Amino acid sequence: MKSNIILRGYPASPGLVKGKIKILSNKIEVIQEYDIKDIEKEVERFLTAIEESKKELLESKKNIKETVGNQYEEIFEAQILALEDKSVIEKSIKNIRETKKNAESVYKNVVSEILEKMQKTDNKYLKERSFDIIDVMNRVLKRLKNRDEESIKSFEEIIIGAFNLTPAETMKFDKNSILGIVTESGGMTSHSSILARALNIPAVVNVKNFLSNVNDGDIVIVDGYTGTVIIDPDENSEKTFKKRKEEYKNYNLKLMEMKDEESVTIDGRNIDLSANIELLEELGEVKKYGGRGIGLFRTEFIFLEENGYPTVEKQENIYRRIAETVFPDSVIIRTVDIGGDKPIYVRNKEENPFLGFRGIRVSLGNEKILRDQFKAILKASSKKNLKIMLPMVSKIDEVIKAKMVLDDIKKELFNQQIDFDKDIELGIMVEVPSAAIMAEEFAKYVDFFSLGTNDLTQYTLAVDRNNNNVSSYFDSLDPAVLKLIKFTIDAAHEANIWAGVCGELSSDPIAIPILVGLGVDELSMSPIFIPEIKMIIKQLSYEETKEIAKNALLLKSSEKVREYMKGIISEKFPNLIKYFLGEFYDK
Amino acid sequence: MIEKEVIVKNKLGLHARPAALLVKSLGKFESKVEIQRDDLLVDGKSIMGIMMLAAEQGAKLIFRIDGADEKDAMDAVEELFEKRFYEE
Repeated sequence: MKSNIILRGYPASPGLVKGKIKILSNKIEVIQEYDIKDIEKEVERFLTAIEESKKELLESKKNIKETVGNQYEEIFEAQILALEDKSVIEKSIKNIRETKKNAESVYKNVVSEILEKMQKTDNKYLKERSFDIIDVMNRVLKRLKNRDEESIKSFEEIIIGAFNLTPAETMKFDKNSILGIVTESGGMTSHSSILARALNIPAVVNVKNFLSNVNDGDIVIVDGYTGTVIIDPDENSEKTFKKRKEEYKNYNLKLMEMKDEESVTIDGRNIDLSANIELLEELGEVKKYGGRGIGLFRTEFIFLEENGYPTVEKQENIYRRIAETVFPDSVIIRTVDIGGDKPIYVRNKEENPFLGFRGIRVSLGNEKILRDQFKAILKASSKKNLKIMLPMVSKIDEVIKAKMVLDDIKKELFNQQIDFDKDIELGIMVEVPSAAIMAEEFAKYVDFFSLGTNDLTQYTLAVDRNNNNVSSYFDSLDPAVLKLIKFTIDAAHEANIWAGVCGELSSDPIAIPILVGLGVDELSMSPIFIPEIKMIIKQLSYEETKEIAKNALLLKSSEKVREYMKGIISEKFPNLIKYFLGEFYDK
Repeated sequence: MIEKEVIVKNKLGLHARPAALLVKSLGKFESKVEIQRDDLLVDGKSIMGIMMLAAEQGAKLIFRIDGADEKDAMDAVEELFEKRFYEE
């Protein structure tokens, strides 16, 4: 009996593949200890393994530079230095001579001693870095163990499974032999996800319980379109796989062909499709998938990296680079949204961080954060394509105060004769129900709204979606949420400002006809979803979607809305992959 | 021989990248370099040795440099620590 275990994660890189899985672990290679006779030959064997591992690392370093630029170069450099470390090599050779044991057992003992000391620290960051050293050691041990048999290049087309992957691990494989990647941890923006997209390798990440369900060598289907992983597929799943594989290929080709076309409905309504990004490494994807600028640039990582207080210069450099790369399209920079779940700014752990000190509350409560960030954005704004967005706004006062700070900084820069965009647009995230309800008032003070539908849903329905007991209550298509969205968009248009959506709803095909019908001006999403959403919009008529939205808002539950929308989508887009495939496997 | 105490100032501590910088920089000098943290003594030209120190921000390290170019080497060390390994 095939177990046919279906698991879900995030669709980190599109594509559909099936193959044997090779599980990688950060565990140290198991090796055998034995006596040797020819000592000099053993020493030579050891030195050759070091030399070959070095070649392999240099090759990976070169590959990664070609694919994603040089930001990971330094990790490789450190690994090469560790590989060549004289004290380790000398001690290993000395021990081979003295103990007359095989090279792998001697080398492993020498490096393990170092690792033990490294792992003694309480510092999590330093502890994690020992993975880089384990990686180096495993390379050498693998070479010594199997000589020619299992060098990495000889892996026949496999799917890589791991808890997480370091850039070095991702790059060490021969691109042509990796079919797909599955990891148990990570998100859309972890390094391995970004690399997978850059290398066009289908990947599903954040698949809970993956490693406890899979065995090395199992056949696995990886669906990077829907974020589905099937372990040991049964006949039915195999059939679906074969049938869909071809369909996907054609579908994807079609999508990528039209990626640079305008995103306009049949009757001429333009809806800008822009990208949500967090890291500079993702900039290449915006263009690759036909994004129109950046609708949400998250700045949290800049702050987390610097323990909460990055310098103005560091921020300015990052913002300027994005502005220049994306020009003439625009970039919306969201001021930092760190809350009590990442306690940099709060001393005591909060009982309920999502209702706590987060977003604009932190930036106003600790004004240096806001001043520095505004200053950095303004200083990088000379190309006039940056906009500012405030997160977690719940009161008009917050906008008024933030605007006062912004004006203050503008004056300061003006006096210093620094070139900046004096008319820079300032908008807010609408993600707290009070902001949606008061949208008419807010619209008088800001230049745009961007609906954060994930938080808006969580706060409106009082559902923590990470809480398994209630996660089934979470649905952004709930009529209560849709009404708040309508309210916000109407208020924006009444005041002649624009309104967009940057939450997950903007990449959910089933929600698109409603959002278009409610009059949304912009949708911002993970770049990989842009082509499919564009294809949908190009086949809708604005007039028709107005009717659809009206009907949907008359329904009384999210289940009813889904049912209604499913009917519409399956009639209009029978081949829609992202929505229908996930269901298909479950049947 | 010169002996000096140096404090780790960069936030992330002596992880792989700063350790690599330190080794590369010291590799240019002839002098012998020893680094001591508490009772652990390592070779300053060995990245594995330096990483073994697991020196986090605020850690105090004693550098002992001995040789013809010891002064220049110590200056280079101090500059790297002072500039926080160009990380911030």
